[in-house]
Amino acid sequence: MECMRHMRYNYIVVFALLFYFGCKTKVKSINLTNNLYLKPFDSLVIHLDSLTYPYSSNIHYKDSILFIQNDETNTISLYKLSGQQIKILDFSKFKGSLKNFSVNASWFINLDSIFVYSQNHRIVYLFDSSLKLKDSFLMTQKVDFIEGKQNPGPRISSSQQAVHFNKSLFTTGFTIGENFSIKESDKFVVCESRKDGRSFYVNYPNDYSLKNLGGIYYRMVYDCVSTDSTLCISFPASSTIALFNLKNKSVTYYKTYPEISDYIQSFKGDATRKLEKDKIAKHFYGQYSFRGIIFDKYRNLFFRFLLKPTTEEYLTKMNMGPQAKFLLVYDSKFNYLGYTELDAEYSDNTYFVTEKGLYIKRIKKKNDEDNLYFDIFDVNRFITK
Amino acid sequence: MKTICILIFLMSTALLLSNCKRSGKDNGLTKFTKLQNLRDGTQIYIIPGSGCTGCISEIEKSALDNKDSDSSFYVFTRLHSLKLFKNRFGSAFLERSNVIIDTGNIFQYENTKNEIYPVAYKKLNGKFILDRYLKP
Repeated sequence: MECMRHMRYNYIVVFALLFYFGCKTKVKSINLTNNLYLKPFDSLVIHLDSLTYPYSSNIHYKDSILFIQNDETNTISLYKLSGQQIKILDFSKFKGSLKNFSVNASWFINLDSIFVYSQNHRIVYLFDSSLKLKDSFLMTQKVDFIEGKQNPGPRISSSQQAVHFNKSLFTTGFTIGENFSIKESDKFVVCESRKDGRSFYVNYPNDYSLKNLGGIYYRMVYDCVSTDSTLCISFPASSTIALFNLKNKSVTYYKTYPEISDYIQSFKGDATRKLEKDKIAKHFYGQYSFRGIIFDKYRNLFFRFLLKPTTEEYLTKMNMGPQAKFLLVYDSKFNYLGYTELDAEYSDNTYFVTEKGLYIKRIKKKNDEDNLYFDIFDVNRFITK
Repeated sequence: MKTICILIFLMSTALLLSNCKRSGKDNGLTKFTKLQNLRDGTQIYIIPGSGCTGCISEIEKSALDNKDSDSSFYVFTRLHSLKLFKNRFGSAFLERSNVIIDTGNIFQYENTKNEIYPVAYKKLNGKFILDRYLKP
């Protein structure tokens, strides 16, 4: 009897499934031109000590130093590309002197200028090489969240770079929610922090005013410093890139290839409801989105990640991280040159450029936390003589 | 049409068989060696690597305080990074007799909607009985 009941139930389930898969709209595929533009020609393995965290979202490279923030332990590891560890910077002593201090994000200009963001304080601290405090910057404060304006909370990571310029600190970020009552011209993604206060700049491109994007992932912006005084901003739901001039605070928008707005469906739900969190995540990971942008100062090139929709297998398991991707290549004027397809094991947020080429982190062995792997992509044929 | 009918019949049969077999989902707790031979009344806390931050920190504190207790066991599951976990709690913590690191994600939530919360089980008459989800 019990089994008969199950049988009846199962017929309903099967019909529902057939109906669901039959009617489900598939995400249209983007077809790009000029494939295999970049190829990996070499690789790099850094053997890490027991403290250094390979999945850190704050890994930077500058002047032959690889900088790795170790989450949870308030430390930063410094390595040479040869694999030799230079030293570990230990900020845990500040936990005693500065209540609730923690290293939530960090980056460096050189060993005498190390920036640390403590989220509990909403402050970026600037330390010298002996970890003496040199300066500090207040990030977006409660007072900045005013009615009618959407000012960004800071997001600082390897693919969301902050920049210290003329005594100001510039960070990019976003505010959760679509906030339809606020005009797009009053939604900002850049914060300038000065001693006398904060100012906010750069709006989302026009594509953002046309649909409900779910209010979280598509609102999160990514950036890089392209020249000493220019911040280049990548918006996940738009082909348009913003160049923000740090000197005169002007913004220039560039439309780039490919156009993706037709490939992004509007979110059908209430983006303000906490219960919609899973739905918002599925909406985002199930579709295309742009991520980090990289400037190659040696060859005057831009690279930008375009992530493909997460596979149905991962979406149903709610394991949405792994996404295959396109690495797009542009010249200095954002003319499209070509692309290379990368599998889901390549990182879209940990990379750096040297004279040798473009290094992109790759997960080679599952659960290997003792090594950091990079593939090096050949870009030297772009050198203009 | 005939093919569709056969397909529906086969799918239903497969579903039916899986349902008949699966009465009482196995949460995997019996597979942990440290949880064998526990006496009745022992509490087992399952702590996910991420989710409800406040709920997780509270039970983590309890795990730190109850060193080698034989009445409270702690299973840490769905960890993003074992290295980060070791750096946070220290290697000695992992060696404690009442701490289990579920690196293979053997434990299965009975209700997947609650995967962001720690959950408490109680050993009763030789079985692991779901006691409560540790929600705010």
